[in-house]
Amino acid sequence: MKTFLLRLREANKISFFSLWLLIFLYAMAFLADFIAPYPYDLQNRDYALCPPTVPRMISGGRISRPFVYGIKIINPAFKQYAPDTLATHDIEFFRKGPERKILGLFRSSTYLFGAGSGKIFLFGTDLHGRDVFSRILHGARVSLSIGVIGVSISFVLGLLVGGISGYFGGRTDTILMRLVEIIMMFPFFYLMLALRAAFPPNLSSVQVYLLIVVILSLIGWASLARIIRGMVLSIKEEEYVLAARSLGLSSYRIITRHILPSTLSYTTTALTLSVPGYILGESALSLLGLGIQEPHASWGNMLSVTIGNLRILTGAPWMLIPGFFIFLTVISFNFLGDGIRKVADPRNW
Amino acid sequence: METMVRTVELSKIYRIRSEKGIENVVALNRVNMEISRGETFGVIGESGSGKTTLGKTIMRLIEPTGGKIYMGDTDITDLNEKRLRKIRGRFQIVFQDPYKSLNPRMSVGAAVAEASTGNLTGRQRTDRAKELLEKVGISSRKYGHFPHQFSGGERQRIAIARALSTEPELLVCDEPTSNLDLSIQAKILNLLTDLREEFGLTYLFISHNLQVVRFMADRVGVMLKGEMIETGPVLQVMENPVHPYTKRLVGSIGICRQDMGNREMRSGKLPGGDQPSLG
Amino acid sequence: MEKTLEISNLEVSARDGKKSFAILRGINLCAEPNQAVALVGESGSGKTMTAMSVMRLLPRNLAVDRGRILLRGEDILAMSESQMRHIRGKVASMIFQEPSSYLNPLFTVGSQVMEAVKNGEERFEKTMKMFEDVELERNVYFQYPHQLSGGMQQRVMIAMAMINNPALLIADEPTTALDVTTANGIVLLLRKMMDKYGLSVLFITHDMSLAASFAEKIGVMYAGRLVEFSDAAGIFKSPLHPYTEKLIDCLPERYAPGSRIRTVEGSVPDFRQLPGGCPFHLRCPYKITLCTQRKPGPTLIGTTTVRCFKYGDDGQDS
Repeated sequence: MKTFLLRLREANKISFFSLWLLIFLYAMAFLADFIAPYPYDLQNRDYALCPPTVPRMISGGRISRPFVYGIKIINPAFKQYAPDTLATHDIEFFRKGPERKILGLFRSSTYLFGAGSGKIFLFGTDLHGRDVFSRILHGARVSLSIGVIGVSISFVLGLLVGGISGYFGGRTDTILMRLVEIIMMFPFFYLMLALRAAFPPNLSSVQVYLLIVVILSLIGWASLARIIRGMVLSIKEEEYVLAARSLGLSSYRIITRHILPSTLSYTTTALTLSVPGYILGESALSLLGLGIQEPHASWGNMLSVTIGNLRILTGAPWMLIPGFFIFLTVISFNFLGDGIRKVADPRNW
Repeated sequence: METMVRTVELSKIYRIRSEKGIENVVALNRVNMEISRGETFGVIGESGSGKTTLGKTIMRLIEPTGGKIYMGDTDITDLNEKRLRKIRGRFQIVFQDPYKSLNPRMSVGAAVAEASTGNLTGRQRTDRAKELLEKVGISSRKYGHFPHQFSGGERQRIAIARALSTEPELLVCDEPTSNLDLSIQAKILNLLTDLREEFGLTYLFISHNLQVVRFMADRVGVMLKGEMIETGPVLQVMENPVHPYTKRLVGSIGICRQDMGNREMRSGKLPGGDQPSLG
Repeated sequence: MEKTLEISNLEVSARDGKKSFAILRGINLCAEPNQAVALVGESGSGKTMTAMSVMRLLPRNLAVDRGRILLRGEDILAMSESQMRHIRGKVASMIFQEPSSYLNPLFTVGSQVMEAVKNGEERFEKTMKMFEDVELERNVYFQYPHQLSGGMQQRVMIAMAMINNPALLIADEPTTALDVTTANGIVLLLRKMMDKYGLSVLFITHDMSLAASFAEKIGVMYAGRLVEFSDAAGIFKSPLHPYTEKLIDCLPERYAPGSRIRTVEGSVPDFRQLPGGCPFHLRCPYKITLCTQRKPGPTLIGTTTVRCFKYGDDGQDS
């Protein structure tokens, strides 16, 4: 593992950085309960669409402890706010607050930070006055895990079906590939809708979440299988595979030791490149109201509120911050995939 | 003498779908040959003559469409893959291009160890692989290195070590030195000669280089368009060829490879003639 | 008579980041009109790079440091890129090992040969005449590369290279990918073209015997140096440089079947890590202390130039 990191750093600085960024994002998602200053569903009706509060360090020309100004409501009808420079609230770390469950396991009333008696909305608030920062942290759990789990499922399916189909050929190949084609024939989006519609609408958010993962990966494996089959078809004609056959090795060993590793440079790239597809797929479902339901948060459903709403786009651009996180995650996975592809090939060592 | 390999009317016909419908391409046409134990049998012919197909078909890496293959007394023509696997170790192949015949993602030690015969522990396998590597002239300290870290000649040595790992009796050498430089070719040929003595190997030595075959083989078969048109002791075939094609083939080395001083070729009138396309 | 090609003291270096290392050093050779000069050596000895220097087609990271290359008396290293375009194909042209990768699969071979003929001339007639010269039938003109065998493709390449009647043809392993009988035809054709057009050929090959039977002069290259430049007629009988000797020793045709071939110890060194002194000293059976300290300069013995301290120490290292 250590050599992998060293090699990655040598091969590609950007991918190395991306890896750390992703680790950071996943850590944030994991510790969301502790880091988020508010519960994801806490509504501050008075502070809907409030712009981000800026933490400050300078007061009266001197450096002081970090603090925030209070928020002055100028016009509640038009959601106009201004910093109240008279009311300052120190930012407190490891402060006590209302008790809640962390990771659904143990109760705690310690929060990483908060602004005393004032409000602290680092990324502003949404239409219902919920803290966008806290919701991004909680939404990250859904959005970041959906890609990884979904990719794992479709990866295993794709590798298995593609590998078997390509290596054994003949009738097995024909049957499996027709199946793949049938799946690929459906327009992705409508298949997703149809599958979602096939299940009861009143599911809990955990169930919906699992359902989405399964739906997405059941669609995703087909194209991967097809590509892997193509690669296996050509790799099995390579002389080193012929040599392995002539050595009397078993088909299982030939497939797992000689053929599939050679698809690795492609599959690792495909894998990391398809993670974004899952994140966006979840967003698309949420956008149509078929994904993670309010008040639960995911980056997709947070973003979906802004679509087609010009007032938000112009008046409350902070609502687009989940989009930035999607972008950040997607691009990090791309860079990481690029780096892994290089590192996985012994010729680059 | 004991027979190592025998083919009877061995044929391979490829059916190729083209615009004109299904075409039959004959790669091997009723090839009969016999190799005795301990002998080196050379196969010469130009590209497309079917020499590589012959080697791979005997190995059952290509399925024949007709005829029989015998390894010793065993008819291996119709053995199913499972039973074939059990006896595969008895015959091995070394390919032409050592850049393609080694898995780039597998360390050379693992490649040699992977097919070791018998019930060996992991440790014993490793030791045996190291021993084989040393035998072909690769330091066992390079056990964990990957193919790209070796030169072409070294890779061919590793491919030979891998083939030896199953303790074969027959080694099919398919143009083993064609992609190598002259000085490396010499070393590989020496190595093959040494191994033949040490392990009592039988070689089927395929090459388009007549001089290499003359040097290595006891008997030789000449292939043309899938047929074996002439067989015999190597010196007899090289010095007194019977078939007109063999005459032309042997004549052609005379022209290109004679020692110096011969400027006959300048005149343009030569045996062998100038035929740009041949099959 | 003016020499077709004259290379003197050519030095080429490669740049890899900030480091720079020698690729070619002290190349001196010349070709008279109607003369074939063969460059022989193992892969990585710098044969192709020498040819590429003459065509001024070196890869980007390689550059000529010093030396002169005269083509019919003109210094091509001093020429601009636009002047060079009038040299390539017209004064010097080149054919390669894999003709198929130099022919466009989408056009008939005839049109590709004709492309090189200037407008206004009788292009079609000229092309047809050239097809006759390279012994291809007229209907080949309308065929596509994939319809031709390797030997015929190489003939098309020769037609393309010869259509503007150059003085020098560089043939980089033109027969390596071909069968023996086909290769013969190509070699005979090259000789015919030489006699008909007074052409000089720089023939690059790793096949010692082929070089000796085709060319008048042979240059043996090792690790980017021309270690021996001699008459082809004598090289098998009396090779001067130890490397030439070893190379000839490696030919299986010089041994009785079943005997052992005398081989050269070690392998060709990497350009990045050339040993100090004579680059061959690590593998040389005649090594003396001097060999590890200095690079031998050229020594003239009869008509042969050799770089080895065995024959004295006249020349200064370049």
